[in-house]
Amino acid sequence: MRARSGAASLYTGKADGTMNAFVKQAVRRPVFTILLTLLLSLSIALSCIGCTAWASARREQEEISAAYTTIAIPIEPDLSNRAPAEIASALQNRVYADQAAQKAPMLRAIDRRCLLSAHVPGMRSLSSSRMDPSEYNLAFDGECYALAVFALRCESVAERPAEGTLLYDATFHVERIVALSDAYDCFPAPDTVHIYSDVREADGALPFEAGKTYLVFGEYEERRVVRTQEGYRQMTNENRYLIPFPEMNSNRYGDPSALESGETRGQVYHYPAEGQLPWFSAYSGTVSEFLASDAAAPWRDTILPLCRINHESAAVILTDRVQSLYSFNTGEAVLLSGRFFTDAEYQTGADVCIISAAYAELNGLALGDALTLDVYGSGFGEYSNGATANSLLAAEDPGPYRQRYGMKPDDTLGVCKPYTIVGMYTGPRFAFGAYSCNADTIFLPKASIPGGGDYEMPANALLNSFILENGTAEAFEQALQQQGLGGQFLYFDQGFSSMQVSLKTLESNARRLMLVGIGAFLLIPALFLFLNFRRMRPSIQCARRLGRSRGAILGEVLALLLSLELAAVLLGARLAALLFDGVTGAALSGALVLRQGELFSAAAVMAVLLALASTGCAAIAVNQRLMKSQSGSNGRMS
Amino acid sequence: MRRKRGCALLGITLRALLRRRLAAGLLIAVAAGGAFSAIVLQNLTLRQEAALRETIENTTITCTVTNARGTDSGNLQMLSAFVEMLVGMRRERGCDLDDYIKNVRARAEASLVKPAKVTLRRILSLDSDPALSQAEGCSVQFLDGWEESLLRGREMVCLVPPEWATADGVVTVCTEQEPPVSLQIAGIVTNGPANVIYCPYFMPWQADVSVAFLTDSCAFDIRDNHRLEESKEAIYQWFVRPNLSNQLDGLTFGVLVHDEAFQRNVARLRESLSMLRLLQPLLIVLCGGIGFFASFLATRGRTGEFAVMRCIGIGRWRTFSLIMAELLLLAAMGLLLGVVASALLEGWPPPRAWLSVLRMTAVLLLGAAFAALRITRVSIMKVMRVED
Repeated sequence: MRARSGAASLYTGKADGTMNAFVKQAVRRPVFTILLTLLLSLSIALSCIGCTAWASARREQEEISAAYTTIAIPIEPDLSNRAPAEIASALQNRVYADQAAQKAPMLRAIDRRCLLSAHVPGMRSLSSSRMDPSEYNLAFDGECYALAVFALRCESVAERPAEGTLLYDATFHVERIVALSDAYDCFPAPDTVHIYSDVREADGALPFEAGKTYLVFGEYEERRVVRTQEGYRQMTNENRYLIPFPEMNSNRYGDPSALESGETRGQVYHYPAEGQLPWFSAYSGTVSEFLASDAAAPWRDTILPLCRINHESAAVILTDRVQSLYSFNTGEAVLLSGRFFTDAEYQTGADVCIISAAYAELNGLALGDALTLDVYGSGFGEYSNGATANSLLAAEDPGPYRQRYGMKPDDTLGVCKPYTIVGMYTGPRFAFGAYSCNADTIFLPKASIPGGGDYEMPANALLNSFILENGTAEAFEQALQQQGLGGQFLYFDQGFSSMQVSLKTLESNARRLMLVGIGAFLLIPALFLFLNFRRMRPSIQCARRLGRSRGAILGEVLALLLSLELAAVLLGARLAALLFDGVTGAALSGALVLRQGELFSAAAVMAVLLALASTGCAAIAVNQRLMKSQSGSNGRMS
Repeated sequence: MRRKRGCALLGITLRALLRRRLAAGLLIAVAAGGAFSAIVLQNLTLRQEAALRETIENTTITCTVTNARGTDSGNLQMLSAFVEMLVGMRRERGCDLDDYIKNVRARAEASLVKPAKVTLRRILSLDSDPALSQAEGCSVQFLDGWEESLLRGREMVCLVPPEWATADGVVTVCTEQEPPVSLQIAGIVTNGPANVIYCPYFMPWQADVSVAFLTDSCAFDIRDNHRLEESKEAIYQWFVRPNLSNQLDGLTFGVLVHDEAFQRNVARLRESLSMLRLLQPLLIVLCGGIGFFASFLATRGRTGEFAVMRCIGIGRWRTFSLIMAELLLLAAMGLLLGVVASALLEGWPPPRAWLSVLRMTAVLLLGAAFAALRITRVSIMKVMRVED
C-alpha cells in the first residue's frame, strides 16, 4: 500500500505540477534506476560490438578475398599426331569454350591482353644474348632485335634448288656492319655470312654476283651456343645467315605479302612486291660514300632509322590485371619489388608500368623512374605445334614461342608518353612455352593506350584469362562440362581455396557473435521495460484514478523511459566504441577497424526499436482498464 | 544436528527467495545466459583456431631460386650441389635445409652430341619443367613398372617423345665429354618440347660415379608453414634475398619466398581470433556485473529477514553462507540451463569451454558475494529501526 499512497500523494493538488511524477519516482530510487540503465547500456554495447564485429568481419572477408584472383586459363590443346579433323575440332572447341565462358554466371571479368611493341628511346633492348650469350636464340631476338644492315662483298653464289623451290646459297665477306644491335657485341664479329633464299629479281635472276659489294638489309642469325660441362661454346662450325628483309615472316605472311611468286623451269621463286623497301643495293667505292649518295636515300632515311627503332624496342602487354597471367600464378614470374597496378590505375589508364628486373638492371632503372614508350601495333607471330593458323615451329625449336614482328612507321598507334615504373618482376629471362613472356616485356594498364582493345586476341593462351568469383572454379568447370566443353581451362586461385575455410569460419563466427549480441539486446531491454513498468504501474493507475488524462500520463511515462533509454544508448555506444577500439586497436594491430558510422547506425536502430517498444508498452499500460487491473495491482513495488 | 538446522534454515530462506520470482528468475537467467555465451564464444574461438590451423597447413608457400640480383630464375647456372643440399643429401656437412623445405623442383640441361641437336634435361619431378605442364597440352605416360618418383632416383632411364621410342626400349646418348651410355626408356612425353630427352636429376653417367653440373631453375615449398619464420631463417643462411644491388659472384643465389599474401591474411585472421579471445574476459566481466545486480535485487528486500536471523543468534558469516548457498543453487540451475541450451545448439561443450564456464561462474558468484556481503554488513539496530 506504500507505493499506492506514495503515488497518490504525487498527484494531490499537483496534477499540473512542474515535475514529472515518474521521473520523481525514478529519482527517489536512484540505485535501481542507475543499475537498470547501466544494464541496458551494457546490453546495447554488446549488441553494437556484435553488429560492428559482424560488419567488420564481412569487410575483412571481402578485403582478403579481393587480394586473391581466381582465374581460368585456356589450355593449349595437344594437337600432335592428330588427324586434321581432330585438330579442327579441338581448335573450334577452344573458341566455343571461350564463348561459353563469357556467359558463365560466376565470371567477374575477362582480361583480354594485347601484345604490342614499343620503341623505348635511349634504352638498350633486352635481346636474348644481352645478359648471357648462352641464352641466344633467334626465336627470341627476331624480328626486332635481329634487324641488320651489312655491307657485304659477294664471294660466291650457287644455285641450290630443292623440293621445287629455286633456292640459292650466296656467301659474303662482311666489309662493314652498318646496323646491328649492340647486343651482338658479345659474339666475335662476323667475317662471313650466308644468304640461303629463293628471293630473287622479278625475272628470276640471281640478285648477287660474285666479287661485287652490296648493302643488304635483313634479319641476322648468329651461330648457336651450346652448353657443355665446362660451360658454353659457340658452334663455330656453323654458318651465320642473313634472312632477306622481304622473306622475314612478317613480310612473307603479311597482308598483302611483301613477296610475289614467280616460276622458271618448273621451279618456284619469290621476288619483292612493288613498293617494298629495298633489301639490297649494289654499290661501288666505300659504303660511307654510297650512304652519302642520293641513291642511298631509302637506306639513310628509312632503313637505318627503322633498325634503330627496332633495336631500342621492347614487348608491351596491355592488361586489366597483371596477376591473372599464367606465369604470375604458377610462380614462374614473381613481383620482386614495387607493386602491381591498383584498380584505379587500371580504370583510369594511368601512365604506370611494370618492367622486369633484368630490363631494369640493363638500363639502370629504378622504381619511380619514367620510361618513354612509343607504342606500335606491329603484331606478332605465334610459333607452336599447330594450334594456331601461322604455326611454324622449326625442328630445332624445343617449344612454342611468340615473336614480335618488326616495327614499321605505319604501325605506330600515335601514343608516345612517359610511364612511371611502379613494379619490377622477375622470372626466367627467356623461355619457350605457350604461356611464356620474356623479360623484355613491359606491362601497362590497358586503358592507358586508347584503341589498345583493337589488338585483343580471344582464345589465345597467353593473352586471355577469365577472372572468376573466388571459390567458383569448380562450378565454372561444371557449367562448361554441361555444354560438353569440359577440360578446356586450367584454374588457379593463388591459394584462396586454402584460405576459404578460415574466411567462412570468420564470417559465421561474426554472425553468431552478432546473434548473441542481438539476443542480449532483446533480453535486457525486455527486463528493463518489465521492471520499469512493474514499478510504474501502480502510479499510472493511481494517476488515472485521480483523473489524469491518458495522453498526459503516456507523455510523462515516455519522457522518463526515452530519456533513460537515450542515456543508455549513448552510454552503450560510447562503451562499445571504447571496448572495440580497446580490444582491436590497443591489443591488436587494428585490422578490424571500428567504423563509427556502422556503430552509430546500430545504436540508432536499437534506439528506435527501444523507443517503439517503450511506446507500445506505455500505451498498453496506460490503456489498461482500471476495474480489471485493480485486483492484479497489490501496490507492491519491487 | 547443526547440519540439519542449517538445511532447515536454507530451506526457509530459499523459499523466501523463490517467492521473489523475478529476482530468482533474473539470477537463473543471468547464469544461464552467461554459461551459454561462454560456451558459444569458446566454440567460436575453437572453430576459428581449427580453421586457421587448417589454412596454415594447407597453404603451399613456394620459394623460387633466382640469381643474387633477382633478375633471372631460368638460367641460374647453379651448381647441382645446391640442389643436393636442398634435398637433404648434404646433411653430413651440416646442412639440414630439407627439414624446412619439401617438394624441390630443379631442372638442368646439357647439349648432346648424340643424338645431335638434342638436349638432355635433368628434372627432379614433372613439375620441374613448365614445358611438361598440362597447360601446355603436354602429357607424360610412364611405361610399366615406372612412376614419377624415378626422377628423384639415380636410375639410368629417360623420358622421350613418342617418335623416339625404340623397339628395344633404349636410347643411346653422349655428350662432348662423356662416353655414350644407354638409357632405358621409362616414359613417353606427348606434345612436349621437341628434341628434348628427360632423365632423373641425379642420374650419373656411370654407375656409382656422381656428377656435378649446372642447374637452370630451382624452386621448392616450405615444409611446415607453422615454422615459416624459422624456415626462412634457415633458407637465408644459404641463400640471399634477391636485390639488384647484390653482387653476382656465381656462387651466391637468391630465394624469393612467396609468403606475402599468406602472411598478411593469416595475420588478419589471427587478429580476428584475438578479438574473440579478448571478448571472453569482457563477457565474464559483464556476467559478474549482472550477477551482482541480480543478487542485489534478490537480497535487498530481505534486509529485515536477515536482521531477524542475526537477532536470533545466527552469525554474520553464517548468514553470508546461507545467502551464498541460495545464490549458488540458483546459479547452478542457470548454468545447467545454459549448458543444456548450448549443447542443443552447438553440441557437447569441449573441455576448454568448461573452463570458461567455470571462470564465468566464479565471477558471477563474486558479484553475488559482494551483494551478500553488503546485506550482512547492515547494522541490525538500524534495520530494526527502519522497520519500526
